[in-house]
Amino acid sequence: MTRRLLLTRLGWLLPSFLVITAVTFAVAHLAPGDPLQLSEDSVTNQAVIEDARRQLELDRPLLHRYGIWLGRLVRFDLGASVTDRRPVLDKIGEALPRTVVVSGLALLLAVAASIALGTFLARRTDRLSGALSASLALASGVPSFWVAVLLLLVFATPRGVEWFPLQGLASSPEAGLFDRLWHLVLPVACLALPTTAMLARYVREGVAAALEQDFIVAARSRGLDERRLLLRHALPNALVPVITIVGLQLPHVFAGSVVIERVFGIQGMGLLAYESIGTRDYPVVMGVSVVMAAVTLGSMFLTDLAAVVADPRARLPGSDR
Amino acid sequence: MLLVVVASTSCSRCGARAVPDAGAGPDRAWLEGRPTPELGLVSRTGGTLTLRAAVEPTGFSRIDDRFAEGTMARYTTGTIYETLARVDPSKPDGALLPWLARSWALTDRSLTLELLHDVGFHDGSAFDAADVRATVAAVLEAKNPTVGLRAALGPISEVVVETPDRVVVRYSRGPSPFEVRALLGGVPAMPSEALAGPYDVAPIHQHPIGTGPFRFVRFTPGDRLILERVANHRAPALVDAIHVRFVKDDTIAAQLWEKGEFDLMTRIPPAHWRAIEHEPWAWKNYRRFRIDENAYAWIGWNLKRPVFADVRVRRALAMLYPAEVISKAVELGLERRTTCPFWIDSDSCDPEVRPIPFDPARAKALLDEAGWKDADGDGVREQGGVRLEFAFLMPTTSARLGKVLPLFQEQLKNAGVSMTMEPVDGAQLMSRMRAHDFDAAALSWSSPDALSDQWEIFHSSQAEGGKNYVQYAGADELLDRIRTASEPAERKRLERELHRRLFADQPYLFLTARPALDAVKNRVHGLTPSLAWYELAKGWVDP
Repeated sequence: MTRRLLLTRLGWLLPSFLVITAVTFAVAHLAPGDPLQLSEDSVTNQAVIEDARRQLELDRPLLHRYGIWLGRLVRFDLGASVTDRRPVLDKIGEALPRTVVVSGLALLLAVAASIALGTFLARRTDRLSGALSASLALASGVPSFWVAVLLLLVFATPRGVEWFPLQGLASSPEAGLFDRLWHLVLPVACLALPTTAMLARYVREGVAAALEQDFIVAARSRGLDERRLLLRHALPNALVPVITIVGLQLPHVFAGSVVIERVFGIQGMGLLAYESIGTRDYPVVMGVSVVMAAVTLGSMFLTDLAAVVADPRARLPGSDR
Repeated sequence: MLLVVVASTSCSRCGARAVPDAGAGPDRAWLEGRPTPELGLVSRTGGTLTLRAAVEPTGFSRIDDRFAEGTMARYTTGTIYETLARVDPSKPDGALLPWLARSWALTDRSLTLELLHDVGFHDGSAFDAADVRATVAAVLEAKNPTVGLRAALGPISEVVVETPDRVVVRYSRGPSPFEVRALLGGVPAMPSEALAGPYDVAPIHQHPIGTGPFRFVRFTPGDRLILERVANHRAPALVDAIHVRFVKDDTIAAQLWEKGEFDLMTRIPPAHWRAIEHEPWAWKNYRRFRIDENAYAWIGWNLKRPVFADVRVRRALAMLYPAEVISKAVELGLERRTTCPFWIDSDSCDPEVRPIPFDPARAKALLDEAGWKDADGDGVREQGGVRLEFAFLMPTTSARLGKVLPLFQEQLKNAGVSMTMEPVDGAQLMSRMRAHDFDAAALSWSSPDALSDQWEIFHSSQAEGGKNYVQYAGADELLDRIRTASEPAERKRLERELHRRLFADQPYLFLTARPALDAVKNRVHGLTPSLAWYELAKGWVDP
C-alpha cells in the first residue's frame, strides 16, 4: 500500500507542476501593467515598444506563449530578463545560494532549538516553563519586520550596542568566513524565531503525549532511565508531526522572505521575486515560480517519504498510510 | 542657487572648512545645507570613497533607454564614461567645455569635431573617430532601445570619419542648439568593437568600458558597484576606488550613515534632514548640501477630459491647492514653489510670474463663472449633466502623494469638486499615462543639464508616443521656434514666453523645485555640488 501511495504521489508531480506554472503564467501575464513602460525614463516611442513586444513575443496569444515557454523549459532555458536581458538562470543562480544559506541555517537552528525547548517544556510545569510557553506564543505572533527592525536597533545601530552589521552578507567582496558568519547572525535569528516558536509547541505537545503512552509507562516500570526513555522512545514518536511541518517549511528555505531580505539588504530569492513582479519581468517571475514549484512538490514528496521512514507503523503490511 | 554655485566653484579650488567647535552647535551653513569654502588644504591621492545609492542599476551603457535612469548616469558619467564635451559646473546653463573633443565647429548642416589624441579605453584599445561613429550609429539604429537619446540627437544623416582625430556629423537640416548639446554632452564614448554584434545582449551593457578616470571592476547586485582609478589617465582621479553601495531602504541607509559607513550620503529624506539637524554625530562629522536641481514636481490634468477643458477650472483647482500647508507639513520647508518648466534659477523663467495663491473663495467664484454649479445640492458641482469629479492616478509607493492628496482633496470637496484617489503600482502608472488613461496625475521631471528642451513634453506631436501625457496643444509654434533658435539670448526670450504661456494655460499645476539633500563626511574634500552632481574624480580623502 505504502509503495503504491508513493508511486501515485510521484505520478501526480508532473501534472501538479504543469498546473502551477500554467496558473502562474496566466496570472503574471494578465495582470495590468507593462514591463516596457515602467518609468518616464524608459522607452517612450510606441514603435519601439511594439518592436520590443514582438521580440519578447508578448504580442502572441497567451497559450502560444506558454507553449513556447514550456518548450524552452524542457531544454533548461528560462530565457532572459526583460529589464536587463541577463539570463534568468544567472539571476536565480546568484540569488538562490544567498537565500538557501540564510533560510537553511535558520531552519536548522529552529529545528535544533525547538527540539531542545519543546523537550524541556514537556517535562516541566513550573513558572519558568509557563513563562517560556507564553514567550513562544508571543514570538510566533510577532510580525517578522518588527522583530527585524528591533534586532537591528538593539544590536546593530549606534543607538544600541553595535555588535552586528546592519546590512548585507559581507563587509566587502573579499571578506573572510568569520565576517560572513557574523553578517548571518541577525537575519538567521530573525527568521528562526517564529519557526522555533511554532515547532517547539509541537515538540512539547508531542513529547508530553508520548510520555503518557503505555509503552513509555511500561519501559519506565522496567527501570529504564528517564534520559534514555526520553531520547530513545518519547522524542522519536513526537517528531513525526514535526518532520511533516519541517518538510512543509522547506519551500520557504528556497523562497526567502521579502521582508527579511529587504531589511537586511540580502539580494535573495524573496527580493528577486518581489522586484520582478513589480517590474512585470515575466521570464524572471516564471523562473522563480519553476524553482518554487519544484521545491514545494519535491519537499511534499520527501515529507511523505520521511514520514514513512520515521513511523514504523507506516511500513507495516496492510498499513494504509 | 546662483550664490551656491558661485560659492561652491570658488571652494573647489581652495580647501577645507573650519572644524566645528564641539560645544558650539551647528552653524548656519550646516542648517541651510550650504557649501562652505575649504581653505588651505593640499590634495592627496589614495583611499576609497564610499557613496550611498538608493537606486540599483539594471545596466550601465549610457545610451540605452532601459539604463537611462538618472541616478546611475551620475555615477558612471565622468567616472567610467566621458563625453565629447561637458557642462561647466560653474555655469550650468552656459557653453559646454571640451572633453574628448578638443574643439568643434558648427556650419549650416554639419558639425566637425576635433578629437583628443592618445586617449585609451579601459580595455586597452585606442579611442578615435571610428568609436564616435560606432556609438552614434548604435544610438541611431532604429531597432535599438535608444529612443530617448535618438530623439534628442535630431536628424543626423551620416557620421563621416575624416581622420582618426576628426569626425564630421552631418544633419538633414540645421541642428538645434539642444541637438548639438545632446550629441556633445550626452553621447558617451564607447569602443566600436564592444558595440559590434547583437546590440541587445552586448556585454558592454553589464561590463561598461569607457575612457574615464575610473574603470569598472565589479557590480554585485544588492550590494555595490566598485570602480578603480585608472593610473595612467590624462586627468587621473585622486581616490584609488569608488564604492557605490546600494541601500534602497531609507531607514537602513540612515542607520548606516550614522555608523559612518558613507563618505557621501545621498538622497536624505526631508524628514531625516530635519531630524538630524542638531545631532552632534551629524553636524560634527558631515557637511550638508541642499542642492537645487533642475527638477520640478507637477500635477497634470488630462485636457481631453471635459472637466478640465476650461482653463478657468484648471486655475480654480490651482487656487484650491493648499501649498503653504503642504510646504510646512510635507515638504518641511525644503522645497521652493515654481511655476516654470525650466531650472528655477535660470534666466528662462520669467521672475514676474508668481504662483497662483491659495484662495478658495476666488476658486469658487471662478467655477461659478465657468458654469459649474451645484444645482442638485449633492455637494458636487455639475454642468450640462457632467459632474465636476475626477480620479487622481497615483503610485501605491508614493508616501508623499499619500500625504499631499488628502489635504488637496479636502479643499476640493469644500469647493464642490469631487476627487478620488486611484492608487496603482508602478508597472501600471506609466502605461496608463502614456495611453492617456487617467484624469489627473502627478510626476516630476528632472534633467542634469540646466538647458532643457520642453518640446517632447508640451508639443502636440508628442501626445502619442512622447511625454505630452496631458495632451496640451497650446504652444506648438513657440516650441518649434525655441528648438531652432541659435542665439542664446533669443532662445531665453522665447523660453520666458513659453513659461508665461504655460502659466496662462495651466496644463500642469507646477508645484515645487525639488532639492537633492546630501551629506559629505568631513574627511572628504574637493566634492562640489552642482547641477551636474559631483565631479567624483576631483574628490579626495584624508588618511
